[in-house]
Amino acid sequence: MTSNLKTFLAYLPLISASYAYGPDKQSPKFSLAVQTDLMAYTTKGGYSLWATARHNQNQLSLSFVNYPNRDNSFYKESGLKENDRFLRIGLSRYWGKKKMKNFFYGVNVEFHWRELLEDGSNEIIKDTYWQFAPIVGYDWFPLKNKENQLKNFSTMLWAGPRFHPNYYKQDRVFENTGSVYPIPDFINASFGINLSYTFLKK
Amino acid sequence: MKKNIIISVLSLVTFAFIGCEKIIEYSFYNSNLAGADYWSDEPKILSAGLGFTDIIGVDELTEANVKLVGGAWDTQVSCSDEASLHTSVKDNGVENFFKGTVFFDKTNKVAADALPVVFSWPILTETVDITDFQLTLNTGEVVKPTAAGTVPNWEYNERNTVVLFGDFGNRFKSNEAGARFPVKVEIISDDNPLQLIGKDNQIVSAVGLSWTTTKNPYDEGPKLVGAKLNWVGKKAIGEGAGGGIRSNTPYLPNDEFTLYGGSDFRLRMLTSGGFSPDGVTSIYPTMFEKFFKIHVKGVDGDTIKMDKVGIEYNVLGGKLKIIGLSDLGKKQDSYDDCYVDDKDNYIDVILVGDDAAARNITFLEIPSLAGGYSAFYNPGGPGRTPYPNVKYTAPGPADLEPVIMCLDNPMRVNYDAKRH
Repeated sequence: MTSNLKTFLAYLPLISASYAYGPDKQSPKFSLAVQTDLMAYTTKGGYSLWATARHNQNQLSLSFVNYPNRDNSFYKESGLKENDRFLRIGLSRYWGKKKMKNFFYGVNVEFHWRELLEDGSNEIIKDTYWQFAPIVGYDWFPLKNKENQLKNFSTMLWAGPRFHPNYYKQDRVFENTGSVYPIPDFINASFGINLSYTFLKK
Repeated sequence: MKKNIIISVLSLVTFAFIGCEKIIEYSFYNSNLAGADYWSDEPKILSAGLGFTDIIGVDELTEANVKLVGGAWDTQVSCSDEASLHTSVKDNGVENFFKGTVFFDKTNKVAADALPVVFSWPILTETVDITDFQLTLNTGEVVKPTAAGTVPNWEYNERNTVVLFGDFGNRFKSNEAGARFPVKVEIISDDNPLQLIGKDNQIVSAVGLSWTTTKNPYDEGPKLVGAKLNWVGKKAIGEGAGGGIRSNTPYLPNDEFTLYGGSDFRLRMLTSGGFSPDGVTSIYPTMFEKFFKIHVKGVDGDTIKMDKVGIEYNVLGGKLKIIGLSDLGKKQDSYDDCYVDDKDNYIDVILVGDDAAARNITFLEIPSLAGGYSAFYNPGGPGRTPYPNVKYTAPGPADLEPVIMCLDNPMRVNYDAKRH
C-alpha cells in the first residue's frame, strides 16, 4: 500500500466526522472565544493560542502551539533538542442532551513543523508531518452564575489518542554524528487543559 | 446515533486495514544508518556460505515439528523459559520481518534453509529483495531465495548482512556423495538494484558482486570475517532502530554504556553467521575467556595474548584491560539459560586503557576446540541435547582475524534516507 493511500485511509474517520456535523436547529447560538492550553506551558518556552467558534452544538477551533523539548527523558540521555511548532484544527460537537450538554467529542488535526538540534553540532533536521487525534472533552463554566465578565471564563478538559499515520518514516539520523532521534509511537496520548474566555455571544 | 455508529465502524475498518499490513517491516527497510561500520575501502562480499538447512518456517513451534525438520530442542535448561531454547523459527516469524515467504514440507520433513550474505559495506535496506540474489549449487542448479531480509542485523549501526531463506541444499559434507549446497552467490540486477554505502559516503550498486566457496557448514562452522577497533565515544551510536515498538525486544539495550557505563575502546567483530555456544543457547557478556584472545604487541617486541577479563596488561604503549562483551543481550546481575542475545553477526569486546597501547592491538583470536577453548556454532548447531541420527552444523574453526585500526578514521557511515 502506498503511503498516500495509507494517509488517506488514516484520515477517513476525520472526513466522515466532518460530514456528520450538521446544524442543530433546536438551539441556535453562536459564540467566539479565545483560549490557551495550559499543558503547553509545562516546557520552557512553550505556549498555545486558540480561537474557537461555536455554532449550536458544533465548534471549530484553530490553534498554534509552540512546544519545545517535550520528551525530557530522551533529551537528557541524548543531548538532542526539539523545537516543535504545530497548527491544530479541531472539529467538535457537543452532546445534545441537557445533562450532557457540556461534554463534546471530535477530532483534532495537527500539522507540525519540527526542528531537531544535535548536541555539540550545527546540524539541524527540519521536518513537517501530520497527526490527528479523536478526542472527548468537558467544558466547565465554574463562574457561570456571576453577573460580571467572569461568567465568560471556562475550563475545557479534553483528551484522546493521537495517531501518527506515517510514524514509521519519522525516525531521523544526524549524518554528522550518527545520533538518532527515535520515532514517536504510532499512538500516544493527546490531552489539554484549556483556559477559555468567550468574548462574543449571539 | 446512526452517524456515530458509521464513524466508529469506519474508524475500526481503517485501523484494522492498516494494522493488517506488515508495518514493522518498514523500520527494517528504511535504509537509515547511524554509526554503521564499513570493513574495507572497496565494497565486496566477505562471506556467503550456506548457514544451515531445513529448520526455518515451521507452522507451529512444537518439539514435534522441530524434531521433524532436524532442529535442536534443549531439554536440559536451568531456567523457567524453556520455550525459547530451540533452533527453529515459526513461519510468521519470518514473514513479518522479511521480504518473501518460507515453506514447511511435512511430508519430506523439511522447512527452509538459511544463508547469510555478509557485505563489507552497509546496505541501503530499501533496496533489499529476493530478486537481488542468485545462487548456483554444486549440482549446477541455479536457485533463488524465497525470502530475504535484514534480521537479525537490523540495528542502525549494523546492516552489513542480508539473510536469505529458501531451498539451498542438504546436510551432507561437501565431499560426501549426494551433497547439495551453494558454491556461488551473485548479486543480480532487478528493478531496484541492491545498493551499498561506504567510504566517503559513496553509494554503489552491489550488482556484479559474487562469492564462491567449496565448503558448507557441515564441514566447518562460522568464523570471523572482520574485526575493527574504534573509540567508544560519549554515547552509543545507532543502537536499535530508533525506539518505539522496536525497543521492546528481550535483548535491547545491549550497548557498552548500558552494560559497562561506557569505556575507551570497542573491538567489534563481524562474523560469517550467527554465533552461539551450541546453536541454541546465547552468549553471555561474561564469556570472553571462554572463546577469545586479543593479540597485542609487547614491550619487548613479543606478542601479548590478552585472555583474561579485568586484568591490566602491560603492552607496548601502555596498559590495556578487557571489560567484557557487548552487543549481545541486556545487562543482568547473573546469566542463565534463559538469557537472550541478539543472534546477529556482530559481537563487541569492550576495553579500557591507553591510546598508544590500543594502537598495538593486532589480532582477535578464536582458539576454538583446537586451542582448548569452546567453539562457536551457527543456529543449525546441535544444542546440548541433540537428537540421535540428526546431522547438525559443525563447530567453527580456530580463527585469527587482523584488527582494522579505526582510532583515527572510524570507517563508519551515517545515512538518513528521508534526506536523500
